[in-house]
Amino acid sequence: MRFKTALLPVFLALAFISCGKDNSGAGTGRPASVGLDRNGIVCALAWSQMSDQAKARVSLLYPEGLSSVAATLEDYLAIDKYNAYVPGLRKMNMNGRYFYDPNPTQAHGGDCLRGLRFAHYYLSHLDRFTLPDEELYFYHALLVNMVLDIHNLSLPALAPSGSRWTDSEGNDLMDTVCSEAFGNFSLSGILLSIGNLSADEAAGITAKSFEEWAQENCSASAGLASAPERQVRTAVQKAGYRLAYLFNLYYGGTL
Amino acid sequence: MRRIAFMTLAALALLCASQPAMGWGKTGHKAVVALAERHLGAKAQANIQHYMPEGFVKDASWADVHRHDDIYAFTTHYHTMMMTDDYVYAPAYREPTGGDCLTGLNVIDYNLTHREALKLSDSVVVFNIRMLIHIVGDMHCPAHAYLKDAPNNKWKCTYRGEELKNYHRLVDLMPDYMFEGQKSREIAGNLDKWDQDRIAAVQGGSFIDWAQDCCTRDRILYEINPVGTYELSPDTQERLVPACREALTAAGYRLAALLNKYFDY
Repeated sequence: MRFKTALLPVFLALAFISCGKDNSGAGTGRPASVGLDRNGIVCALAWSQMSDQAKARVSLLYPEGLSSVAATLEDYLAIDKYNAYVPGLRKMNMNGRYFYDPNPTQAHGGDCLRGLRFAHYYLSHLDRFTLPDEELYFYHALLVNMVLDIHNLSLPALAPSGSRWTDSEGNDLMDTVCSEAFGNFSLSGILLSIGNLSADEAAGITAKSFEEWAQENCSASAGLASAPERQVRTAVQKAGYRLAYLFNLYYGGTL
Repeated sequence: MRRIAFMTLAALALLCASQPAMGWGKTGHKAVVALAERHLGAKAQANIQHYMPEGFVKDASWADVHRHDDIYAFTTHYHTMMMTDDYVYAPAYREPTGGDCLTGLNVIDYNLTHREALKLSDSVVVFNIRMLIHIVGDMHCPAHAYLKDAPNNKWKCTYRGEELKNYHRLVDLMPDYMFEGQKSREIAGNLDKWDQDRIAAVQGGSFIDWAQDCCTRDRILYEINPVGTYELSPDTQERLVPACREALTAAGYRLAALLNKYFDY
């Protein structure tokens, strides 16, 4: 159990000390991309695109950095009331033409688009709710994971076969391709290469609806076979910019 | 006069005892769809007729009947939603159980918007239309937004000396009380009095905005009868009329906006 509730005063003190530092959690001085997974890159990119206000707020909540948010979902999954439905949200379906299809999951709790809408509703209406810390942290954890999921090219399953982008040993192909796409770059190099969009280009990515995010992911997963590295780089880039967009929306500032 | 009042109450008690929960009742649901029908564009009307040549007003309560079928049991969650004690729409209370009105509306909206790309068969489109026309109505029924700790479908009570199954049923049957003996298209004509600006305003916003609008309106239930009241205020029905009238009307106009969006091609 790693609920931050009891540790909040400690975190607040740490946040004060660390104010102004890079809290992406991905670090900046790491050699190459060793230890940097896809989620770490997304969070580092998001951090680089967040407003000062949003960074300050996230630093207060997560002194360990934005990258630590995703992992906190595991803590909640140890609790029955969350474990009862959250794992069911971590899926996505598409039809044979790679078109996002919410229907196969409807009778079984929905998919990551539903989870994203759910977390987004609470975080974008914080003025309407007095959320206990447990729930506030939960919505952050759910949101970050849903954004990651909805940009995971290996997530969309072809119903009804349910085949996914895994190799013969069951390893996630997206992770393999991601290593190949970014493996020779340092984090700062990665951020330079995918974090340099103009304001108009960034707005083009963030202006789309959640449904369009899901549709893009399904379409892009079709391209994994022919241009996997390009598709993965684009997916990671979109996820980073969109995650930053959401945190900026909740906590002030714009891209 | 007392005799008429007694007969009305007796009929109400009989309905409460014999019918399963039916949202706004058939009268209210049909009125919502009939009002929407009055505001369909010619193309939308023709395209819907392609899918449902016999008309769709009569299907207004199809979703209530068929949610008891195993195959459609998951749609039961789509008939209601929940709110906080201060009437803020709160999906969290229903998230673990399969969702609420908005869960259903979001999927139906996606399906009907993208029916070509999804290659939906005609029967699946009809299913989505039947669900849509009902859920929009249910969402606006003041009894269909539950308070977490005091759901009105478990609220035992009496009304004017008669024992009711719950407060929910009294509200569900408001359209029968308000428009006794009138046909759905007659009721729709009676409701269809808003000017264009007001119609446009109510049709605007997102599903979440609509849900919050409904929750805000629903507070009247608890202002008339505070949570836990056993003997409901004897003027409950009279006092609920304005809110129910507004809710039925808003539902009809919003349903029209959605149907025009999906079928005006």
